[in-house]
Amino acid sequence: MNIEFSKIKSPFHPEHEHMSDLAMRIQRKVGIEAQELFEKPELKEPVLPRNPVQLSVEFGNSYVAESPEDTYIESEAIEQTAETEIVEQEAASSELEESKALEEATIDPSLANALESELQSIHEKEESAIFNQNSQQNEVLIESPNNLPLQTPEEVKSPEEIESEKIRSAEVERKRAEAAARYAALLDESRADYVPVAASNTEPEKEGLPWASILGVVASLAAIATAWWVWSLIQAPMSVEQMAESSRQIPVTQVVEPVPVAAATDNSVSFDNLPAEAQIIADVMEEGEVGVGSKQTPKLSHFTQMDEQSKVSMVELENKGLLIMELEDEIFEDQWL
Amino acid sequence: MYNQTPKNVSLPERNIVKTEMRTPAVSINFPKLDEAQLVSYFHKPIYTEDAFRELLRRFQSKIYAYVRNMLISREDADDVTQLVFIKVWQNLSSFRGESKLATWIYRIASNETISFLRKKRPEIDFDEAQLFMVETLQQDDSISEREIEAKLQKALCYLPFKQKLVFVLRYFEDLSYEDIAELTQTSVGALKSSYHHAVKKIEIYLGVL
Repeated sequence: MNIEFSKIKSPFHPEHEHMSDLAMRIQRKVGIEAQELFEKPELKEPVLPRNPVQLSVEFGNSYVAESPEDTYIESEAIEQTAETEIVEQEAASSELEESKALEEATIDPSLANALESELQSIHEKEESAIFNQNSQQNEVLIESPNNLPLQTPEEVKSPEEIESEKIRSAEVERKRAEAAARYAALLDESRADYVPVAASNTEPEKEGLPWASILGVVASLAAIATAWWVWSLIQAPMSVEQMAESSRQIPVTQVVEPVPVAAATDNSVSFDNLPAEAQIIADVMEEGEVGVGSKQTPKLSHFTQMDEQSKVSMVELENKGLLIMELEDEIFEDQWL
Repeated sequence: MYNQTPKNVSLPERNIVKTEMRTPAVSINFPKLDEAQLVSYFHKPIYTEDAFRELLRRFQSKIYAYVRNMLISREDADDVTQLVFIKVWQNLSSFRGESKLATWIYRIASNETISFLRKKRPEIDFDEAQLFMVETLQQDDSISEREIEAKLQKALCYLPFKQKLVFVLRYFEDLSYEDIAELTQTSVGALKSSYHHAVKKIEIYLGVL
């Protein structure tokens, strides 16, 4: 093991708190005002366990509810209702006065009176009709606690109010759109967290030469060149003349110097010098040699003594080059052809 | 943290006056000063404390690690580090910047370490004292869980004191041979040889341990 190449750290890692404490002690020992000298190391955010991607989208998701704008709108509404409840309980009379004053200030009094009387008459008619119906059926009318309050006549709003209402509704719409966009962004982000491979490629396309196509062209050219080279290596079939020509050319691979061949010793046995007792074998051997090696060339004398069938056979053998007969041409021609 | 004064307790008038006198007219960003600039403030009484704090901030952890590597025991390292910086404070005005600030502080630390060992185990040699540190090392819970680091530290305990000192200064503290030579008043050649022997021994120990 080489400790110089792979450096090993010291096992003693001073902790921040320990160093800070020690610095304080030193400063006090020295007699100076003790101050905090070491900044606290930044705490890393704990890694939260990742939940699986929610593929189905539900309305009223917590993402939307948590958005500050939406919370603001809702809380405002709640505040308003709470205020009105308190006012109703504690100071109903003052509210009536205020509303009257407001009505007077905003609504045309004659028009409002007309509408009010009309509505009241309709209400009375409806009540009497219900009462009659119930009395016919001998039923006791119990008013439902959930009865909705009667609709108040539409207030005639001033153009300023209409304008402000429009602005408010536009603001609400804008906030809703913002919240929806934020929700969509959060959803995308969470998906991107879990599916990193599917993350969109944000790198801009590089301008310049199309290297991929250039490489493709180069590769195809190289392939063609390789194919041509292989084809050129394959030899065309040789003609008979070329074969004959090539067979004549004997490649000289090695120059062999002429070596003087020693005179072959005559190993043949001279039968004349053999002793008398070995002469028998010599005679036998001589006969064999004669019998095996001598050409039996039929002579005219032989031919004339042959029967007819043998003569035909001899002629056929000679015609096929298997036998040479030493015959006078004249005789052969005259007698047999 | 330590010297916090309760809000409802008013400081005596004498102290306030003293504080006002000692408060520097111009605030200086000490962390951005280089070594020479920092040394120059050691000799200006109104800035001495701040300059010392900056020195403490820069060197305390290094000196502590060096002393801890030499003595192993956490309590001993705390005590010696404290003694080192008390010595530094006492001699701050005498430091003229002739040598490097780091070399000067490491020299004080080395001397304090040797003095501490002499006081603690007067009956035995430094080299023998090293062997006692193996026990301390094995009992130390704060030591790193990495096996190789612990093994190296154990191997260091078997080195002669001088070799260990050179090795720690060179290997862990990254001091140059020239700085160590100035610190220990020895030649660079002798240091190189000592370091080489230490490395070889440690490699053998690590193979055996």
